[in-house]
Amino acid sequence: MSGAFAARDKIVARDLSLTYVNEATDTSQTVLDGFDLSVREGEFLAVLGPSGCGKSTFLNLLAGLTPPTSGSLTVDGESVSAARRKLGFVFQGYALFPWRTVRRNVETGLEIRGVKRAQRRSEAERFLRLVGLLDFADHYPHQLSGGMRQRVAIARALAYGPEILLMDEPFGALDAQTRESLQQELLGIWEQSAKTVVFVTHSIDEAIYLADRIAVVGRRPGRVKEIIDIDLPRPRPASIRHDAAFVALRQRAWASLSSELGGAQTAPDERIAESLTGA
Amino acid sequence: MAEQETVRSFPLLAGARKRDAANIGRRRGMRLSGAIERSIALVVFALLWELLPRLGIVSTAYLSPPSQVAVAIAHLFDSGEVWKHLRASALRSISGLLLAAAGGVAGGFALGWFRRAERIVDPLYQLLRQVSAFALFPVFMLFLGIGESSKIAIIVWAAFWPVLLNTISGVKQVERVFIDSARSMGASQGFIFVKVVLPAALPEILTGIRLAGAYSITALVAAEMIGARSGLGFYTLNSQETFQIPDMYAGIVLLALFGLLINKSLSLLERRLLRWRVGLAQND
Repeated sequence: MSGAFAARDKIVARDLSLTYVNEATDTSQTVLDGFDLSVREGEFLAVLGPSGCGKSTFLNLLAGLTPPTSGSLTVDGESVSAARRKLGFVFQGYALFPWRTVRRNVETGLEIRGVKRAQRRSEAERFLRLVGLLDFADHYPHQLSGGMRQRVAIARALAYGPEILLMDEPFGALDAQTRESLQQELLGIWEQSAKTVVFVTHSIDEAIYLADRIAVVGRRPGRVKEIIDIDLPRPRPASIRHDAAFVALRQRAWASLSSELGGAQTAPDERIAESLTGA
Repeated sequence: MAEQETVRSFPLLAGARKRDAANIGRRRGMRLSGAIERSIALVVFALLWELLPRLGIVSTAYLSPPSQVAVAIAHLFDSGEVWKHLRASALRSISGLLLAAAGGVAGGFALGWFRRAERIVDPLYQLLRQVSAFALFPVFMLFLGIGESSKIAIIVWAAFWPVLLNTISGVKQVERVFIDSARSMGASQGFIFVKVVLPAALPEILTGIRLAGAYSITALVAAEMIGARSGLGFYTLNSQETFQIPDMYAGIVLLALFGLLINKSLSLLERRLLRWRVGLAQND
């Protein structure tokens, strides 16, 4: 625990579990079990784990998109459904509406909140400027590159001023270069905003570079295995990845994950090992 | 960073624009020859049609040459009689089409969204949609009398099914992630229906409506041939019964043109509403 100053817990998950029952085959699959996690107000928390460990499922529970089978999940002490309007969600597949222009996509959350057209417009423009895409306001999403689309998605999630930003492997589909530049932009935005961020990723490097703390999630069933404090100074330049402290953290996170994979009943999956080492 | 990425994406867009410009140039040249190409079949058809009765191969008592049909059509416009029939036909087909579209979209939304309801109702509508609108005409007459309502009912029945089926399939195919992303922003069910599911399903819905437009014309003609006093269908049958053969063909040609007009208007509406798809791979 680095807790130099005691930030209040923003999100608290206690003994969460989720089991899918397949009625057709009469089988069930436990995705999360005994999932405990607290996210502090204003922190950048990365949720790191191998594919299929249920880390994205946790975000879906948090966003109220899926109800948990049991356990409690609160935001500011309230139930998730009551807190829904405090959240912004950035999906891996962008999830932009193809029938809306970039501008109208960014306006969506404000429209839902009944904000007047003129104010909607100026707010959307403010956030489009923030992500450097004001010139593309009247384009449709399919006219943009993947990196630009994800910027629009981030602007859309920020535009209505949510207190919490949930990000589900948002940069997973991007090439390495675009990915790094977006990571840096995201940190820049977050450092000025005091938002709480829960960022799901399977990349160790991405988690260390971005986060204040990393929650390492194990598989079958998914639960938080370990919390790693990332006490690297901010702002973090791209070159911080070569520092000794960064390398040491990478080794530690890797050990935590690989012991999880090695200790599992199933044989270690090479594909997962690869996905974890790749940045 | 930002510059880097923009620099990489700009040439993409600029390149596409250049390609478009080149295409337009080529297209202009092709448009003229395209127009000639597209009229060949029509000209040959008109020639054959003109020659068959003129050369006495087919009796003029059965087939009027297009020149005479054109005269009959001109006469119809001169006397102003055409408007009475056109208005009656347009009123019936458009009101029938609108009712069918409204009912089909509403029903399709309900059945596409509530899977359980669809599973329950599916066997019923699979059966009902096989019931021909014309077979039902006696039933409609029994309930609604011989007036306008039974004629509109037959059109509604014929046009309803393609709208319903396409809407169900469109609503079912809306990507989960669109709905999830709206919900994550705190959208109400109403917002999701109107601003997410409807536009996402709109391409399929409009295909259904365009089909319905074609069906509504078929049903219109049948309805007007049974106990009507006006309309292009009535005019066609009535001309045959009074041996005004050129007038009969005039009615048929006007019906075809009317159908074409409905179809064109619906395609135009489709293109206008789906402008966002321009440039999407499946629409290229």
